[in-house]
Amino acid sequence: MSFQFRQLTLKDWLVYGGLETINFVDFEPGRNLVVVHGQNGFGKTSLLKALQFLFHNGLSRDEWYESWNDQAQEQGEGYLEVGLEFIHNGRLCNLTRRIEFRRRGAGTSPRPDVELRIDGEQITSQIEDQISQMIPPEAQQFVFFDGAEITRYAHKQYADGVKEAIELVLGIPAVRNLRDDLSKLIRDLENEQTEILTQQGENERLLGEIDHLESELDGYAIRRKKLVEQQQAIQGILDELERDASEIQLIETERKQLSDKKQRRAELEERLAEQNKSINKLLEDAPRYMLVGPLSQIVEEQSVRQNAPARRTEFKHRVEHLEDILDQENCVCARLIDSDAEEAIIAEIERLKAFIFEAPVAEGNSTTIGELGTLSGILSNIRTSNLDGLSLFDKAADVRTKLEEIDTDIRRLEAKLENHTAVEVQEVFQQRKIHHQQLVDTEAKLVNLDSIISRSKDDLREKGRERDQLAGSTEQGNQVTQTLGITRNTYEAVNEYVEQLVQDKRTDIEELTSVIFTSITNKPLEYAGVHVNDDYTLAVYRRDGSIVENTKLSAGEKEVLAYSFITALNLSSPNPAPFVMDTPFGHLDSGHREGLLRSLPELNVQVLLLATDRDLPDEEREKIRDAIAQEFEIERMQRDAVSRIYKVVD
Amino acid sequence: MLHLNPAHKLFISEDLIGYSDKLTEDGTFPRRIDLLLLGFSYAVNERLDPAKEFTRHELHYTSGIDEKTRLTIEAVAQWYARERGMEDRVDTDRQLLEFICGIGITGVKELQRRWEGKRRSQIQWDILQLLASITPN
Repeated sequence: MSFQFRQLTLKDWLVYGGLETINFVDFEPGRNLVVVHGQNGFGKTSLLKALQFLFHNGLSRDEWYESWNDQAQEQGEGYLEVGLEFIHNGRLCNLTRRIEFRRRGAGTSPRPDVELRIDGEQITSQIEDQISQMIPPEAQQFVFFDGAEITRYAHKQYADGVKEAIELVLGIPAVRNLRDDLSKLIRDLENEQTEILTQQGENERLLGEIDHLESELDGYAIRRKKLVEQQQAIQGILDELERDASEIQLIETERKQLSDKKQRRAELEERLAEQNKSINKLLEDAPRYMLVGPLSQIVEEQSVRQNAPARRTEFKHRVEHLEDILDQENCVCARLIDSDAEEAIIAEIERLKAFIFEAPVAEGNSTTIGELGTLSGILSNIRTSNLDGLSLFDKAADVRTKLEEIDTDIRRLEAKLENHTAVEVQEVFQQRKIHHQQLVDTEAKLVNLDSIISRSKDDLREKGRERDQLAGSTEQGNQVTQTLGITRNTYEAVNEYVEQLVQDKRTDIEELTSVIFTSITNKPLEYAGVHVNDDYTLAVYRRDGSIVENTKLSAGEKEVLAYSFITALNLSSPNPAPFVMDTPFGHLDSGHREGLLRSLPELNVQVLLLATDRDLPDEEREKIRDAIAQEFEIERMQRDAVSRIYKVVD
Repeated sequence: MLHLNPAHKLFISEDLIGYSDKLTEDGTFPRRIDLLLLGFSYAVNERLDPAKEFTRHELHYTSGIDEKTRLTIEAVAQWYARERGMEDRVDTDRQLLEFICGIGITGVKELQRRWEGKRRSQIQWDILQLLASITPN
């Protein structure tokens, strides 16, 4: 491991009073985690700040005092110190920063000091430059970070300066500088050629033409830069309009849904009202319907009574006929009448006689023909009515449930659309059209300009060759021309290398980011990877290749994406530094947190994890137990208002 | 057939006023007489005797009952009196009213026991179930 921490010492630094030391074991792949447990306010962030202070001396004078432990300050003088022993590029480094506070009059005066030893040898010049090369200040966000930093990064992808910082981490500017130096050398040599030719007093025309072409190209470069800026500005506006348009489309869809749901609601309410009406009618008529049994008996009896005179004669005939049968031994069907048949005939004769000799019903108790007709009508009406109230009741309950569901949907949609009542739909679509056309025009202008630039460069190269030939005619000129040729070839090679390096690094980061992201995300079957664009903005893509819009990612997903990129970036740098993560899981759900924890042992660097109990609960700690090389616990001595770091013995 | 006098008022027992008010207020029944009439039909089906001693509380004129229901109740009341051997209790329109309300009160008290702890929709469901079990459909 070319970069690893060995010992961190703190003296009167923030919450740590007195001297505190953390000794790190040697890095071992797969067993790379150093966990420092501590509750909020106990001093985890003080450790992060100590490392930031060491590698990037960014504290102001006021912050020196703020960083000096409160207890120590009471002494009136003394010093704070942060020291780190570490291996960098195979060399043993000792870096110490100290702020000495000396009494002066009524107060104190601070004096900062820094000491760097490499392989035991004290560095005496350009110390800060050497430190900056180890972890460039711009790259700190990718090495020392906390949960808040990840959240910030998740939102600042497009911020200015991020691209430069990323390229710095990747070591690209160093190679670009070489290319720029070569370009400057070429210009110097060409100027020397021009001077030689001018001294010869010849070829004024050729030099004039070269001069003219160069100034033309300078003009084109300025125009091109403006056009690119214009293109980017239009693209920015267009992106925003696209987002607005897609939001409007979504809102329009939801408006339509709301309108459909309201219409459906009205239909359901109408249906429910009809069902309730039928149920209420049934309930209202229930007393009558429930009397269907007695009523049918009444109607039958009364009908018999109404027809009593005619019936009596008929019944008398029937009695005579039955008595005749009883007198004979055989039935009309010629069969013998047994005792059962005889009993049945006697019973029927009795029933008929009871009716024949029954006393007439009192006037008040009998029904009139009209009343009987009405009662028969009521009975017939009941018998033909559909009295299945239960299924009606069930249906009404179904409709009520549907209404409740639809009401929930309506409330949700109304709340969602509440703030979007005044969206200027037409305006957004019109603007999008205009800007799209502007973008097309600008792109066409750029293509045209590039073709002009290309032609001018060809012309310039041709004139340059003429100049080379003319300048090579003298001994001095020949030397210059030869050097120029070699320099140009080197420039071309370096330029090609720079382009390839940028491309390769981006591909490396893209692959690493994708591996880390897909191993952490809780949608591994949906998300297939991450595209890293030319400007280092990120885009998650699905298995079918479609891009997930950044706005569609949840806050947790954005943070996992940012974390994946940050770690991939550090690992892609020429000399990956140890990671120092301070409570990085603040916003993550348990699924993402588990995924992230699982990914840590796979990082091929030391990882210093500063965690609260919530970041690393016991059951999750157990899952990464084999990857933990060391554990420390921060304890707070509340009475003395200082914190101490203890090594946890397993 | 004897008919109810439209100038007479149906009545319920004092102790059932609270219950009938509750059921009309929560919308189980539109009117208190609807509960009384249902009580009557329930009591007839259950072959119950009319209530005996109670303090009466007048409800509504008999003319408030729709004609079909009134005619059915009148006919059934007189038939039921005969069935129970109480023909002498329905000789006059006043007696007929007393008989119908007495039976109705008994029925409502039974229903009150049956519906104890039940809410509006459960009671309505029970009525529809009764209807389904009694009617030929």
